[in-house]
Amino acid sequence: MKTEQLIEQNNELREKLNTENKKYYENLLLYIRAKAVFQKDEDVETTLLEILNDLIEAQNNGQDAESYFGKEPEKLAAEIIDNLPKSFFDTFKLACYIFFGYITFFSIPQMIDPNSKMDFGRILLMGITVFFFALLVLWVLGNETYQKNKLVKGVNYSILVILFLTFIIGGVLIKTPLTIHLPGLSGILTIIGIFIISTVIYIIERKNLPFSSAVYLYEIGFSVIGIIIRIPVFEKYLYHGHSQNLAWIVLIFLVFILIINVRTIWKILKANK
Amino acid sequence: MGTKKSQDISSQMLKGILQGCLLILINQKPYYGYEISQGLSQYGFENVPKGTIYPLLISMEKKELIFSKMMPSKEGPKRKYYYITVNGKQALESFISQWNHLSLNVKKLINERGKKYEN
Repeated sequence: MKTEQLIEQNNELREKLNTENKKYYENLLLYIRAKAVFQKDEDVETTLLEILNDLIEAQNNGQDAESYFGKEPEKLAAEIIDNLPKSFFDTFKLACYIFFGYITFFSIPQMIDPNSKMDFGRILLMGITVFFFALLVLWVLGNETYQKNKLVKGVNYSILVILFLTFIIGGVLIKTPLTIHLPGLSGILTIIGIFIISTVIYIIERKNLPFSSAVYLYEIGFSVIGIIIRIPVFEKYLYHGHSQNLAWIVLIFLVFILIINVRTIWKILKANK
Repeated sequence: MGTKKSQDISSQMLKGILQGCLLILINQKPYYGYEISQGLSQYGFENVPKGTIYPLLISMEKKELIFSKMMPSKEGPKRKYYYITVNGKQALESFISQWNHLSLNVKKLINERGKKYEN
């Protein structure tokens, strides 16, 4: 079975667990998925589904998850991950997705204005940083699920917030000489190329990433604006060499996307309560 | 430190013994996870948290003592059934002979020298 099918089946079957067992299992699932970065996704999901099926059967026989699986799920989860064969291919794949995902997400908005230069060096540099940052986030999340100590939890979160802020500020301040100017047709072709890459990433990874649909929607919008603005007819009326006009178009677009996403954002906020 | 070390030894020992028991079960017929746990409970392993069998099954599969196949179960959903391999059968034989030897020796030792500690 393919990984996606396994995840889908897991999502359906999980509903059969009662509240308490579901909580127990979802902690286990989050921990294993976050920590098993170097393992093959298919192996990880097969094992998760196997445990879920067994927990459901135990539940049907009147046994709760903790008394079936044990009081030390973290230790067992770590043992499970240790025993699963490591997959360098999957790690490499993950690294590529994160890397290209970052590049596509940040380069298209920078390319909208045909007159401004895109700092490709900065995007590349930040893309490499974001790869290591993502690994760290996965590691902290993996530690956090079974972390009962509030202080450790708090410290973990502060580290994440500080890193994230440094990261955003660094992204603005860093300047490299590796800039590209992409007006007209060269810009259109580059945008289409990057858009195709991000579409592929979106199709493959959309189920694993909760915000991917919203992010993808922005990409579509930015790509369309970037292309239209470079077509001579539209350039004359919409842009005319004035970045201000462009800023208005982008602002209207952002508000539009925000309205579309209100329901999704609301759902996510509610789910996290 | 001393207690940790002795705990390590006993958990290693338990793993070895559990692996032998799993091989005995799987040798009879293909089993899936929950059936294995039921089989173990039936023979007095009720207190062993059944979570321990999953890493064990994965490591046994990696060592090619067993292999697995997704098969439809009686209840309907496909389950991961475990089958014994030729290597597994050999490991099973050597486990049984080692265990018999070991338990005979320990029993003899207890009978002759350690009677007073039995409860």
